[in-house]
Amino acid sequence: MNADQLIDSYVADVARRLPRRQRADVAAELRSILLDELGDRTDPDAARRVVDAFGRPAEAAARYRPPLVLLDPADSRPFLRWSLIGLAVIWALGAASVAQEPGPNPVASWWLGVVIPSLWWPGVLFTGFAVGAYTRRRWPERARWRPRPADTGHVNRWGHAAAWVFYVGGTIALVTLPWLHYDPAFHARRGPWVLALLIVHLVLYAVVIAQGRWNSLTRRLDIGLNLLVGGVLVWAMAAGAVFVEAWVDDLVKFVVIVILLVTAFDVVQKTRRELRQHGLSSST
Amino acid sequence: MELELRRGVIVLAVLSQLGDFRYGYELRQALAEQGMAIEEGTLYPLLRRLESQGALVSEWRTDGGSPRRYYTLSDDGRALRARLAGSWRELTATMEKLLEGAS
Repeated sequence: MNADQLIDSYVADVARRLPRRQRADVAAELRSILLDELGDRTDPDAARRVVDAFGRPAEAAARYRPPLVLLDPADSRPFLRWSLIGLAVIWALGAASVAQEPGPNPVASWWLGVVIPSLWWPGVLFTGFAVGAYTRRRWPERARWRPRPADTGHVNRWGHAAAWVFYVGGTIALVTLPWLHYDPAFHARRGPWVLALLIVHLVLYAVVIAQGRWNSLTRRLDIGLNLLVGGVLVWAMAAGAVFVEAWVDDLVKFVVIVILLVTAFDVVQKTRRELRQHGLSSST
Repeated sequence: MELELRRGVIVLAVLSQLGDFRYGYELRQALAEQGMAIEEGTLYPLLRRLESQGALVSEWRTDGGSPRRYYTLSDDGRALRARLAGSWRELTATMEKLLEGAS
């Protein structure tokens, strides 16, 4: 390939990456620029050095277009962190599921059935961050930073009381509804523990509603109880069936897993807040 | 660090040399001869961007040789050059004062 052919090939590669209306014009100019840069030299090596100085065709083409940023640099670390956390959770749950019913090749089952399909998670996250970045650019006023409201521990008594009544009703329904057929083993051994912890948690919330605010003790009790309930629920589900009908059992376990994930996130937030408060109070 | 420092003045350097029509390679040579070497991959797309923003106008000329695109300042470009030159002088005066205080 001689120098002219090499330059023509490079220009064609750049041009095909540009919008159609820009192609002919930029290609003509780029060719004239490259020939100017080449000057009197006619050897292919010199042409190679000239095009190398412009970078890969994709890079050269990108410089002729307005920059397009889908993921803000400030979002890159949160995106990576949440991608890895999400993937780790999906892979671990998938591994546990495969371990429960191991086939002839559990590694292949895990890889093809869990790892490859789990790539939906970074895709969804990326889309979320990209939409967020677009929204911030489109409506910058809405994206302005605002201070968080000061956390005084005050609770909305009426709102919390309504939620409390709802949870008490739900707990009573779980115990008394005649069409819920619990697995006998669950009913005899694991169920009472779950029920006892739910009642203790409801008592704690009743105390908080009566006091009208959270304090350090009730916050710590709440975190501890959440961890305890989470642990007991994991044990109750892992030890066997909760309901007699398989489809009800699967559905309820799925819902409980979602609740556990939300609760785990909540516990992490509350624990961080407590540690922050503890750090502030011990430093003053 | 030096690269970032230079990146901030490239636009003004280019505008300063386009009082008359010049083609890209000629402009790059002129800037390099005066101590402001700009990479080819940076300069030529910058000319297009400045033109799309209305700071430059261009036309194809042959001038007896192969056809080349020539660029010069538009009226908006002259106003932009004057504004950036004023900012640059203020900035250098401020920096001089800061650096005098530091030495």
